[in-house]
Amino acid sequence: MHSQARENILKRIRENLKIQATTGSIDERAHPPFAIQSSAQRSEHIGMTPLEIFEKELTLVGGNVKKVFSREELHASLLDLCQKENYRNITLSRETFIEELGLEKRLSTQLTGAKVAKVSAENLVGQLQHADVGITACEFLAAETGTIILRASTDAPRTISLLPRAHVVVAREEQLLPTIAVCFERLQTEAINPALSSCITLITGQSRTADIEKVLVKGVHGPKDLYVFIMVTVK
Amino acid sequence: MHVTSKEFKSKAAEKSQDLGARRRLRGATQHSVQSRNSVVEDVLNWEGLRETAHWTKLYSIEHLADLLEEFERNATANGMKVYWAETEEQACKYILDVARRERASLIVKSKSMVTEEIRLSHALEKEGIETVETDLGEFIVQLAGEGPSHITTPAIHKTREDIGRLFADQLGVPYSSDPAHLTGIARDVLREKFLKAQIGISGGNFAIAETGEIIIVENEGNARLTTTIPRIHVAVLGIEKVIPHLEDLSTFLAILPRSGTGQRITSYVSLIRSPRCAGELDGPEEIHVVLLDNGRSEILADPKMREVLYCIRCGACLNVCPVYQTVGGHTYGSVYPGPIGSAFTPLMASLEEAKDLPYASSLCGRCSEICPVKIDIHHLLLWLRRKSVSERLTNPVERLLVQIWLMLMRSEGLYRFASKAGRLLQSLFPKRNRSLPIPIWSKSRDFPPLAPKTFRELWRDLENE
Repeated sequence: MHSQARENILKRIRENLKIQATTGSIDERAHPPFAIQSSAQRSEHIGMTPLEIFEKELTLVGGNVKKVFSREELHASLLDLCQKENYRNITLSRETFIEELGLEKRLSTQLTGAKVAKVSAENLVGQLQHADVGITACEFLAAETGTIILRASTDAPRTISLLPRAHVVVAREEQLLPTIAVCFERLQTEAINPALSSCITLITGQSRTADIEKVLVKGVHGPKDLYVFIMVTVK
Repeated sequence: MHVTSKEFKSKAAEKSQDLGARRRLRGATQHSVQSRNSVVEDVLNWEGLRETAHWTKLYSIEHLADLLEEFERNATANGMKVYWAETEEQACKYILDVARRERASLIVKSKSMVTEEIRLSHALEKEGIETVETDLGEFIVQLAGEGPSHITTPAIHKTREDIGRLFADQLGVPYSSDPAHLTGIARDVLREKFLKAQIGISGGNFAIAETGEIIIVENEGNARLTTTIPRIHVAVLGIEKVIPHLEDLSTFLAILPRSGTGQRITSYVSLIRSPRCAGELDGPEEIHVVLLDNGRSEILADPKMREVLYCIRCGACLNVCPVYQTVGGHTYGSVYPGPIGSAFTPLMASLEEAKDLPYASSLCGRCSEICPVKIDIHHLLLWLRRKSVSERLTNPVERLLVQIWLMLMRSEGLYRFASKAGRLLQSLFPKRNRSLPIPIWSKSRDFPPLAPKTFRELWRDLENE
């Protein structure tokens, strides 16, 4: 049962579009003369590896990137970070990759007095409001812009990368793709059941604003600190 | 659409006297242009990106009805509710009904020009529903009881001292003019609101027909919070926002942040597909998408003006416009200021109400040059001027002067006579550097003094030598 407003709008659009410009036919104007171009490749990236590009770009916008070569190194680096930044309240996603890495156990045993927990269904917002850091995996990384692609899921809610004052991402090198366009392609062609995700989020750097006299301020509504640990496969 | 553009000339005359404001605005806009240039210069294929974006928008507008139907089909299959609003009244009424059903007392809003266009906050406040703007710039102007003065930097016209005083007065905090400190205050105040609100209202930068998704780009994180925490999310979009495929989004993500905020990409991009899925721990339980017409479908009737609907609201044309830099956004009396606003506003309100806007241009063309979707803005303004004249909206004295000029141009004899008469006449005005006083024209311009001899006379003298 369609509304009258809907019918009126569509009718008006179709009728008005019939009015032709005096020059050029509609067919000529409707088919782009060349393929979709979305490459924003830059001259300075030529010759760099995707990993180098990702590191450069994310660091430029205030993110932190660390390559780790083993599980032990990841554990040590993460512990180091929590101690240095004084993260006393840590929330982890329930993603398979995070569970496999055994981070919850390692962090809770090594960080005395700290609260380490997985996201809970009960009072999630309350939990994350007080968390110092949220730790998640990710879907992909896009090198060209230093972007992290997250998919909301039953294991990783959206707010874990939004409410706490810091966000840590643990990724595998194989998840690094050249551009956002390629990531979109993969998301569409992979047999990912769309019903399982309500939202895909692209994160590139810190929450920021320049609304007051164009002075850059970081950590407005979202996290101020962003860390990406990339597990590099030793060749 | 509600506008106060009839006051443009008087406001402009006033604003151009405020040299302090002009200097600040010029500084801010120049800074924006420099940032934009620094992230565009090193892109190997910038022109290719602009062309692609232009053609994608052209295709989208020429197939608008089909794409809107496809979007509706897919968004509905995703679990969203789609509502079509012909007018701003219908849109506000629908949203009010949603709010009433939910017994909402607090609503959080992220930045959306279209919600300003329909004056949604005003309608909600009238019902006694507290509506809080969460984008920092919008939060600031809301506290000040003003409207935004720029598409992407709403409080660009305020100094840090202004904002410090505003926060001290309105929020009861100790005075400070440090931007980081002020932002921290806003963060805390607004975080409380996000957690308590029943409804989150957002706009949308794009709607993807193929996937039924709403796309929001931002830097602060307030749109993510607005569209995730409250139980209900309402997204309002102009019907021109729909694009065909997810693949097309990549092109726009390459050009919009660069043109709008001088960034290679914004901190956050949300692809919103559906309300929370079974088992998900957060996300809204209901998403309502309001597709707004409000005059856009009428613009399609003029094939030349259709281009105005390609606009992706980056604000770049404002930053380079010498008129905008001089008078600022509030002067235009419309939610949509600057060059694109001067083309859009007469079409959305009426040419009569906004007839001065197409004339608020030096036709320098910087807007068209910088537009990432290659809208030929200054030619659209010229086209509207032509319409103004044919609809007899322009000053009758000006029309008379143009008729006289036409007469002179068509008749050689009359032209030479006028030229001789003019040279004689101007010797009567030695104090004005012999500039003839032409009605209206001479109020702000000097008519160039006519040369003592015409070219023909000079040539004749040369020949006789």
